[in-house]
Amino acid sequence: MKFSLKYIILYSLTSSILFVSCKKDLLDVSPPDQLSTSVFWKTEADADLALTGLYNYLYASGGGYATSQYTVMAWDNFSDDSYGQYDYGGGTSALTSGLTPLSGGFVNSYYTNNYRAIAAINSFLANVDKVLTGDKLSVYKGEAYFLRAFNYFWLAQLYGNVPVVKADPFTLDYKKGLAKSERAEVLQFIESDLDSAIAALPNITYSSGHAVKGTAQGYKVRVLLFEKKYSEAAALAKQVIDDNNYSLNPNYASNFYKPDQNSSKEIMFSVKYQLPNIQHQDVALAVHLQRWKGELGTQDLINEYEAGDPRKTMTFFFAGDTKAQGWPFTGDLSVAMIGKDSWLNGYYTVKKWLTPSLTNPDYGALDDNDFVLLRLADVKLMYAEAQNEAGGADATVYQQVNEVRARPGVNMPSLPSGLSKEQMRDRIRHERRVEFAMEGLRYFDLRRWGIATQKLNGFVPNPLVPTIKTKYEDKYEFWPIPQTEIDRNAPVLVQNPGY
Amino acid sequence: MTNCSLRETCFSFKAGIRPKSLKLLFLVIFSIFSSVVFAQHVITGRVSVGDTALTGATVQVKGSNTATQTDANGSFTINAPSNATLVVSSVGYVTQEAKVGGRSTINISLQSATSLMSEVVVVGYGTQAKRKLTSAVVTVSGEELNKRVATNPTTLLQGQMPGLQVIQGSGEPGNEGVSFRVRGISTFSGAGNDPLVIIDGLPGSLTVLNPNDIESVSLLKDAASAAIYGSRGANGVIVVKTKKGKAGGFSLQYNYNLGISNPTSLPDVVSNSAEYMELSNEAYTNSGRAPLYTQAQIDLYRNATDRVKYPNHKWLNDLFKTAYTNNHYLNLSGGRENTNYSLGIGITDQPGTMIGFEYKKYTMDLGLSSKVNKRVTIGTNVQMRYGDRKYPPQGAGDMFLSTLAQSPLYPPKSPDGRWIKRAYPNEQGNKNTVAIVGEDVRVRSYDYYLQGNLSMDIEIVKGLTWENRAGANYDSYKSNDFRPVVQTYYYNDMSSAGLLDVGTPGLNVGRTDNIYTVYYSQLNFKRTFGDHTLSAFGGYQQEHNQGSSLNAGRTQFTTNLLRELNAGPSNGMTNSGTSSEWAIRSFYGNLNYDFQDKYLFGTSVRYDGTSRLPKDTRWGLFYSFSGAWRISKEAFLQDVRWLNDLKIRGSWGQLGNQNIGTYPYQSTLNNRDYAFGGSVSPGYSASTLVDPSLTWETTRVLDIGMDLSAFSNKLSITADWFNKYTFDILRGSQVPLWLGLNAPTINNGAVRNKGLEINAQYRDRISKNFSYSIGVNFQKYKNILESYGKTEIGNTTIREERHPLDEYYMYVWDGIFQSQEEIDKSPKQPVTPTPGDLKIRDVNGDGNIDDKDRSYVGGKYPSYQYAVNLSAGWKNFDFSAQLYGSQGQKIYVNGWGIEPFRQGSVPTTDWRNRWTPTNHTNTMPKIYVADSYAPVQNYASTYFLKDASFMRLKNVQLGYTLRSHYINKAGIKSVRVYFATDNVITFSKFPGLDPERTSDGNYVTYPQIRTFTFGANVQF
Repeated sequence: MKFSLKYIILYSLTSSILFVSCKKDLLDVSPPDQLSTSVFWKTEADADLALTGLYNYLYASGGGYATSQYTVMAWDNFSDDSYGQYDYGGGTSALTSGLTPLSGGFVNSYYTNNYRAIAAINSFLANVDKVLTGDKLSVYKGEAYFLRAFNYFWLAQLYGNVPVVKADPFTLDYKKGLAKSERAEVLQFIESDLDSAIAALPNITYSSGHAVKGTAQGYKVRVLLFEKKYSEAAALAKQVIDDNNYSLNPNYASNFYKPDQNSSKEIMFSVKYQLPNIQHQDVALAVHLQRWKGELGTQDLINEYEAGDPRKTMTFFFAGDTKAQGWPFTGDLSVAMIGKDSWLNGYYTVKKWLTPSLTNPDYGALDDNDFVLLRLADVKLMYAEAQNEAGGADATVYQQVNEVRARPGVNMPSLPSGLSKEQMRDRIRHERRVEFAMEGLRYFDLRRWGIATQKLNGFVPNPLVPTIKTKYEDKYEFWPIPQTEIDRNAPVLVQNPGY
Repeated sequence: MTNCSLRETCFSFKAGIRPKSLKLLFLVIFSIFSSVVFAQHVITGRVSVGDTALTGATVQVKGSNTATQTDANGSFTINAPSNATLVVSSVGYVTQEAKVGGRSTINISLQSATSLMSEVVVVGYGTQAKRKLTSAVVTVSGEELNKRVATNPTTLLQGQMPGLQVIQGSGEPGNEGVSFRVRGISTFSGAGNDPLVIIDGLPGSLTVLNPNDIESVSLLKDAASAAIYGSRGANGVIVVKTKKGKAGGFSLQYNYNLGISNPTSLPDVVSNSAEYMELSNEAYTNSGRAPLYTQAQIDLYRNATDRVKYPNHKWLNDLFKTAYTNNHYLNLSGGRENTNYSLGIGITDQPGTMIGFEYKKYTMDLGLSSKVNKRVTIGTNVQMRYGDRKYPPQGAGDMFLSTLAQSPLYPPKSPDGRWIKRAYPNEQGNKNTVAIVGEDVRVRSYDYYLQGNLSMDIEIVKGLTWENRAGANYDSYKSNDFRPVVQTYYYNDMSSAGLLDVGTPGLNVGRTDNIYTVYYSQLNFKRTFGDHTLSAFGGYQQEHNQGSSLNAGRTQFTTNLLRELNAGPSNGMTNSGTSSEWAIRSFYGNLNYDFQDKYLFGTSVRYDGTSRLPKDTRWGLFYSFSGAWRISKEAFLQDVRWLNDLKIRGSWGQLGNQNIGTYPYQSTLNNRDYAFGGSVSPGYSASTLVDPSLTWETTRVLDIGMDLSAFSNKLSITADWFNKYTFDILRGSQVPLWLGLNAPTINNGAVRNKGLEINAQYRDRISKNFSYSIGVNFQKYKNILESYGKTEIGNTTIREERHPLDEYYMYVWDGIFQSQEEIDKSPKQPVTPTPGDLKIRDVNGDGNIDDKDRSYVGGKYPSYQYAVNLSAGWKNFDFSAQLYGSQGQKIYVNGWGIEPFRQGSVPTTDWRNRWTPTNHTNTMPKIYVADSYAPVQNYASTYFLKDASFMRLKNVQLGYTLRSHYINKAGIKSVRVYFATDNVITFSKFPGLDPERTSDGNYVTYPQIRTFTFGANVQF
């Protein structure tokens, strides 16, 4: 065989490809845009990154289009306050079709959301002392305790008693199922986390989005009230009020839009948004509330307002409203008219949460209004409720309710004196409904007061169509645990009664 | 129709050459090949097959373009130099060469190409004589495939290869959603069921090809044939060979066809406005909701004389149109002096039958091989495709359902040119799809795809060759998705109805790039020692893939006219991008041995390492053993004259699958930001568990097969039985929700498929004028989930051990409640029904309908599938037809089109036979509003499970080939004109739409199309 130089070159070039391409690390690749867990929890800055990560779970998506779990107004579709013509959040179908372990997204996703947040918190608590010490450590842990309580409280409110998980999820043996913890144990755990948070968090006014002492205290009041521990609730609420870190916003409406929310001394906890990077899910609030009228106030709620209560027109639009009343549309929609542009006859378009400067909101409109989860008016009314239940309608009860009513711009007259405990209870329930309309508290209030079936079963959302009634059963006090969870924890995890 | 296939703008975009200069180029090429002059010499002769004369065979002087064709007696006359070689070819026969050697009369006898004795099939890393195969391989030629006309070659494989299930999910141009399944669904993992596709020896893409450029396709379906692809062979391998040109002068071929397409079937819907409004009111009342229309409104429409103001609008007529597809294909091929080449250029302009969809595809295929000296052959295959697609961003399914959600009360556009949202504001509805297209709310996507390889084969000594092949696939995909701001109006008073639902107005542009490189080097050895023949090869291969993406967006554009980023404000702009990579490194080998061509043995082995698995478990060994016995070679069968060949074969082996995620074992942090105090803070959390001992998903296949040919090879039968077992399935673990973490990918679970495939073919030539063939293939599988863990119940399906994977599991529909009495004495239903609602069967008889009453329902997979391929030739006419059928599968469908008034969608006309207090039917419930109407929609029942069995005349083609002296004088060898119809007629019980679809869910998908094609094929 004749081997001329050119063939030797050709063969050796071909062979060399083999060796050149045999890099040792060819098979050792890692994701170029994700940090490996192995490099985490090494520096103090990692604690900040991880803590921020915990708050991110407040953006958890909800049971459908245009909502997150904490898109608060969507929760009113579960109640007698609003009607969701597009079933945002799942409230409409919950009231028409009922709840089952296989029900649409929300039964599963809210459960999942809270446990995902809890897993991240548990992992944070298991690691944070590797990189922090002293006061900073205790404050960071305090925030984590608050968030854990916050998430367990959502689970407790919706699903009743649930499995309590406290350990780092990465160390858990998930192959064996977990049973539900006793209800008392769940609530006790929430309380103790809140106590740890209260002890650790700074006693300053809430503003940046980080939970502070008042936030944890306010939530604890809510938990105590939920547990009907009235005197404890009243005492703690009084402490928050007396601390004077918070005050009622002299402009009621400006609690609900940017930038006024930033300086509201009333807000004690909220889900923070920031344009352009962090926007609401899917569409702006103004699009799903005012343009599409995805949540419409019911006549029953409108009827609840006392004559002359300005909160009615601060919360809803009425036929004939124009720019003077803040109606955001121009052109042939410049006068608000029932029956026009998806406005269903018999309902009321929401005004709360609308940024006044927006005109003709539609696809592409942006807003970053924070979802307010806790504000001072709530603490004041919770105080009144707890104190009234514990000791009757004393002067302090009157004082707190009247202060909420007398807020500048609202200026509602004081309650008549001499109310009985029962009368005062009704007054407070009334006050909560109108003060917090479209803030997502009503459904939980009705359940807490034990009157959800009475109010919601057979409720006629639209008086113009009296044949159509909503359904609510006593068993909905505890939502069904998602079927997947029952299956994966069989046989130890038992479904809530009635499903 | 828009036909810009040959217009300057389109062509120059791809080739960068203007048509004028292109023509010039062809002329030059043409003249180079035709101007060579030889010392001529007249030769006459006859071409025959056995005793029969062969008409129309091509006789060509090798290395020149001098050619002729045999006449009715098989005779020919040709001028050729005395030292020339004649090349005689005819479709269906093995091309034969004859040296002139000074003779003036040459008679040639051709052999049928389908003879098992001579047929060579393309297998993994090489070719093999079909008679020597010990594994289950089925092959189809490009010629056979191109008897149907389609723009996407994947669809052509349907019904051609037993063992391969091809489902075309949609008729959307450029997005046909074709799914390939080789021998059933063998895994539920993310690793998927898609077979590996090999183009010219290296992994590549089949859709990139122009069907005309395909020479052959082989399907490797058992372990013995696929084990050489080891870790990527578990779902079968499709091996494609593209054209490389044949020796025998220059030939130029031009194909053109025009396809005229319409949807195969569309639902028949109510389009009378008054009827729609009355049905709507009835449905709203039945569903416990307030009726939408007043009597006055209904009367207005019923009695109107102004049908512009009060129309009975047929929206489906707006959505669908007749589409005209233009296909041009030009091929230049030939070979001389040890160099063969083939250059194919294709242009396809394919608008959709649904408005808004357009696809233009330009393909080029270059195959070249050259024997540079006695020992060295170099070659290349390059395929390029440029695809230019336009489509509405929300996709075809949404276009269809949104159109159904328009009431007949209004047209898409008012006479003064404004887009209409609805007639009245209280109507439900969805986006105006005509406006979507009219305002050009369409994504433009540009896909540049190139796959190519270089090869060098060196014969070191006789019988030992060194084969090297390196290839790269490069895909660059760009998209431009602009959503304009479009006002809409209510038709009743032309008041503003807000913006057209295009999502968020603004622009998103994206680009993804993928580059895949592969290289292998192997030694081939082949030698015969007396009665023993040994062939073997072994090699090394490595693959690397890197993908990246970049996206950017802006919103709040001040104009709809500009659709580039810089035309929008920078405030609020967003961007994102990432990349990922994987690699595989492999050692492989194969050994085949036979004794006297009678006892055959084969073995393959592959040792693969993948970047997707952890260091300690990333290497996997895959192997197979096979054997065959050609009984017909035994002495005791020598006297059986009718039997040409009989072979029994068996194989066993195991294959791998690792195609799950790119980094499934690596524990990483998720980015989780939060908006603290007016600015966005970065955050992270770990939220996924990983399994550090992750390893390969493995498939074991046992195959027993038989090949028979008889009666002078007129009859051939191939049958295979297989048992395919996939275990250590890569899957997400079942973690409890309280864990709060994403499940780790683990190895767990097993699926078994058993099945039978039979292919029988009979071909004969009855007279010199008439020949025909009939092919029948049949396949049947049974799928069992053998190991899974805890049973998981989905909405309509169940994963439970010892049942078919994802078997249907739902409530059983038991008719319609006719009266309150019937409801009262029936088992308690999950929601309170009223007369006219669905009745659900109390399966366990406890008097209460609950989740325990759900039942297993068969039909997730077809019981069997079959195809019949017919072809015949009479004189210059040729005919082919394909019948394709699938029996026994069911599809769960709901929503728009099959359920009334979902988002206001128009009911089909069969709702005229709905249950009413006076029409006590037991087949259709009372009409309802399908926006969560609990007594029908709250539980999945067999009411929505439809029989999707079908039998269809898939294709019929009739051709006529013109061969005459007149055209020969014009330099044309032959002209074939043909007429073809695709999806001619379908027999099925499936309601309204086409039964062939890939998945459950929304009833409406982009419809299948029926196409009439007129074409011509000119050979120069």
